[in-house]
Amino acid sequence: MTGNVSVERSYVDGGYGQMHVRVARPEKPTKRPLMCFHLSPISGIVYETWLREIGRDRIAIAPDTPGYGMSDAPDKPPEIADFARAHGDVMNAFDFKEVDLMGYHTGSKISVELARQHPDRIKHLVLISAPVYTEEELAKQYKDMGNVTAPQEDGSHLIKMWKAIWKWCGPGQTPADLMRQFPDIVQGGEKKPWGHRAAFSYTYPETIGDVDAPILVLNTNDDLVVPTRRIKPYLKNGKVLELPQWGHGFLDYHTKAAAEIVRNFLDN
Amino acid sequence: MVDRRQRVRRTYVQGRFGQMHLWTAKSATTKHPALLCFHVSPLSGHSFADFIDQMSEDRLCIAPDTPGYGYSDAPDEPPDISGYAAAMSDLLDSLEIEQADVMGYATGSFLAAELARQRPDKIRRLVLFSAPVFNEEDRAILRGRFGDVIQPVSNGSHLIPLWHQVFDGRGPNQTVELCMFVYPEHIRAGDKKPWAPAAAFNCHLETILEQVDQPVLVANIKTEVHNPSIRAGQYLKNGKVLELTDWGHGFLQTRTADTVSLVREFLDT
Repeated sequence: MTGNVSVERSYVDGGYGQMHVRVARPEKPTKRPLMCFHLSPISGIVYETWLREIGRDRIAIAPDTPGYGMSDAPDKPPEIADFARAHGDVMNAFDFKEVDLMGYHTGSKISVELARQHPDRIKHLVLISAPVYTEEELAKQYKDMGNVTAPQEDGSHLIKMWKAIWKWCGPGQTPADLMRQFPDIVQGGEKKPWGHRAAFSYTYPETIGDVDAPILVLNTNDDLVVPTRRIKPYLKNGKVLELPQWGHGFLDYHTKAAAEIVRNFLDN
Repeated sequence: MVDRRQRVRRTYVQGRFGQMHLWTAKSATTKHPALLCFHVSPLSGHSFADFIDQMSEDRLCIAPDTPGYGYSDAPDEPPDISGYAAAMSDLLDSLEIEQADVMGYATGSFLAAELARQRPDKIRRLVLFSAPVFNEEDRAILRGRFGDVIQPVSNGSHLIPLWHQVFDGRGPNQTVELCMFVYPEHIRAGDKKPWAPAAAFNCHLETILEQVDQPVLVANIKTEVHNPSIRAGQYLKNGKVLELTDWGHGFLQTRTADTVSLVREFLDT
């Protein structure tokens, strides 16, 4: 395994237009490639530290989901299946015959759906959260995150968006950490909630049981910790690892420990 | 998030400071030299997206993110205007551009003029939206407004002065939504945000303009550097200043078609 690799950015074409991708590529990859899908409404920026570590022995990429980061936005609100197809285009563009997936919140749902669409090519899934919501929880999620925060002349909309994220900051996360992600969090205008809405309309009990590939759910102490505990009975070939000492930002602050867990699961 | 436009695409090229992110637009018809567009600080080439979509009907248009802004890698140390322009000069070579016109907006005008000075063989004409020739009083005021890093704090209050840097300087018809369109780019450079403005504040544009032989149009829009841009007129060897006092920040979005007409008229006739 080489030392930390650099992360480069590039574009590939997908069904919705250009897809922006962060790529870590070791000199001699020895493991299956890994695709990493981000949470809403951010971008592949959440994986920058992670890619440098996990990319030491495999090609590891983090595409921006259509409508986020620097990827082109769809013209109309997509479903999770649409996002998965777009990431399937990236998988094809990189010519990955077999691949492991890692998904974070909305990205975990995209991972499950991509595994349903390509059961022969997806070998393992690592899901950072896999929430099974009650009706009340789902209604609250729509209310809290499914709407546009209209801009105001006094800038108060920015404080509202900042506080909505900051209240879930994980152990060790600093305002500077959030500020690095904040441009991607606040952009998107009217289309910004589309990722959350797609995620809330995709339910695991009906889908995750279709996946035969091994699944590891990492249940960190973030905003989805409680609903994620309910996923266990629906996993055909998977397990839930409780990580109560970690929260958002663990990929930056516990990078090596997280990589050890993920490598043990993917490579053994 | 990027809204799709007819001809606009993004790409990366390798440059002296790392990866450089470009907004490009072209069509099958190329009748005129390529047009390079250099953005105002601390925004990015995204601000030119609508403009180059229209302008590229008959030429290749390229709007790079200045190193350290948008999605271009940042230098390790703050460059001066000459260093930023050298990165753009590399771009001309790596893209094998024979001849180009160049358009600058505020800090981008410094880059455009310096690039024209460095590469008279390549740069044909210049359109500069603001071309401030600063005196020491201007410099002190602008360094006070844009020269410091506003450190992030847990309650988010740092976002408000950053918002006011955009909103309070907004131009005619630049709505709160259009201010929000540029705000993500306004904050993306983080603690390196003041680097390109500092390079401009430290630069004596007049000494560059005096060495530019190519035709120059200064479009003097009404912004915080309007008065210093009036002074540019006396240093132009082959150019003029056009007063556009009813134009302001946001003109690339609020007056896209007017901007295309104005730039075409100067470049193509």
